[in-house]
Amino acid sequence: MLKDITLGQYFSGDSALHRLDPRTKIILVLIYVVTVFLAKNLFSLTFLLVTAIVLVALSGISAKIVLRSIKPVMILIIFTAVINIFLTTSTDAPLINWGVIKIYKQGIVNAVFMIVRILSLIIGSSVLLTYTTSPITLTDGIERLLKPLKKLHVPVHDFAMMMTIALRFIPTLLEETDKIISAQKARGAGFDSKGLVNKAKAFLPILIPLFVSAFRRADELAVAMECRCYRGDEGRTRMRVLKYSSKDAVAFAFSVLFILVVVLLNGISTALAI
Amino acid sequence: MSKLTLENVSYVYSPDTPFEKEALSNVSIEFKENRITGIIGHTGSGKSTVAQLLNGLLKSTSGRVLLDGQDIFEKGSDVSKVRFRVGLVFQYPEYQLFEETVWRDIAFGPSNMKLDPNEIDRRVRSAASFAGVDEELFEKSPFELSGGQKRRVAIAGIMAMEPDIIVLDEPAAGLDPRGRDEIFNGIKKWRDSHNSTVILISHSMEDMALYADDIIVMKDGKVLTSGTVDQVFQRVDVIKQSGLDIPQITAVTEELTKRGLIDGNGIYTVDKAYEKILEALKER
Repeated sequence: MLKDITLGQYFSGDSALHRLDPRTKIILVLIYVVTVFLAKNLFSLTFLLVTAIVLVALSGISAKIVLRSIKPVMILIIFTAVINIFLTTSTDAPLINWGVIKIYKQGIVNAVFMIVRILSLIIGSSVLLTYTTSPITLTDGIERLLKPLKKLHVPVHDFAMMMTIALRFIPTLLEETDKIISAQKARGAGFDSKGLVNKAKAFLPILIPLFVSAFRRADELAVAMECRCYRGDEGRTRMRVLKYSSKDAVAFAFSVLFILVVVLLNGISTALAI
Repeated sequence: MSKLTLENVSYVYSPDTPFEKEALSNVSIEFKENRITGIIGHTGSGKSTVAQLLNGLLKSTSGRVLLDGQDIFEKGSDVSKVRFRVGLVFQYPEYQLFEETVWRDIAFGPSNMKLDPNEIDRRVRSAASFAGVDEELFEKSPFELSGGQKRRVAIAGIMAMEPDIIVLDEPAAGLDPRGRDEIFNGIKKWRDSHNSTVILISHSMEDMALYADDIIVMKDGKVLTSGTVDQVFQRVDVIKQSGLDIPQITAVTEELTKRGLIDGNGIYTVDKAYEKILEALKER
């Protein structure tokens, strides 16, 4: 049921990617995403896809799981591809000409490029970040990276704490929702009623208890935190102190190499075209 | 009056995933009509899974759940009708309250049964009286009530559907002894006046000794032993083996018996123990 929804989708493990510092991984993902959009020809896009596959291999996560994560975005990918095929116009003769519908070679090329881009984007960033970094470590990393903003009086720590708590409570609330749905079903509640208003009404028996319990939990948590003298960021030490290591340096070196190769491959095609 | 039977039922959570877990394996239980049957077991023994199988919230992986001899998932039968006949009170049912007033919350089940308003009102009042909800509370918001009152409103909500069989999962969890007694006595009274079957799920042998007629002891998804309360208490070692605590009075009389002071195996009420000890004293 609801429990099958995996949010965050962290798979624990001890691969090279798992052991990288979260800050490194966040920066690498940013670099990766930008580079994905830099790539603009067959060579560099193929290289992107290869990189994504290498990353999967490095993470030690089975290809099956990675493929499953693509399923939900399949519709988006197909949609983008179709739009590209039908709406791209170019000056050469169309491959197919059915009156209103004209398909050009350029359209198909664009569609394929788009598919490769989206695929490598999703695979690369999920393997690099969400699959191999636990949500808590991730928030830690974000907090540290955003630390300079504190000088501008941005409450970085508070945001990070809010995110940590939110992430922590997702599974709890999902479980709770499951329980409430079962309990209301046992009282004969039907969730298959017709009409928008009735449908919304049918969800009240779930939403109200869920909100009540969320507020109750928030209240309890606040009291528990206060009892342990939580006062925000000031003078707070960490259980896990983030530390860069040689692995991170290697990762950064590879990412620079990665950008260079993509730029180089982009150049090759221009050279070939000339 | 309805008869509920589990026939070779197995249940597996999250099959075909790394989290696969067999909660029940090949369990067969026949619930006797008109009696209070206690299902007792340690955490993870599968007792709560049984509860959700009985009214079709979960579908068994293999085996059948029979209501009056008919498979509840048989083609063409409506599972939601089964839920009106087999009422299920979840653990901590007070967290499912949602209506604006207590009356409307209790009426939620009967309203879903599409009964006429007079009948709904009658059922709400009757259920409230059995569950121990004062009519003065009817116009209050359920969220204003105390924990014990909320619990009783939630139980009344199931009773108001007037099911043939009522299943209660830990109905007294977290209540003080007095609240516990009130709830169990209400359930007993309800059974007596409706001739219905009650299934109580609990981990407390103490409650079972006081309120159940029959007991089923479960461990690791299997039935360890079953029978009337007297029969089950003759096998105190089996109860202990299932990881459950025996009632204090049973522990005391067992020790006294072991030392040869009284002759009393399987005693589970204070009255009976009192009788036996008096008997032994007289013989001296």
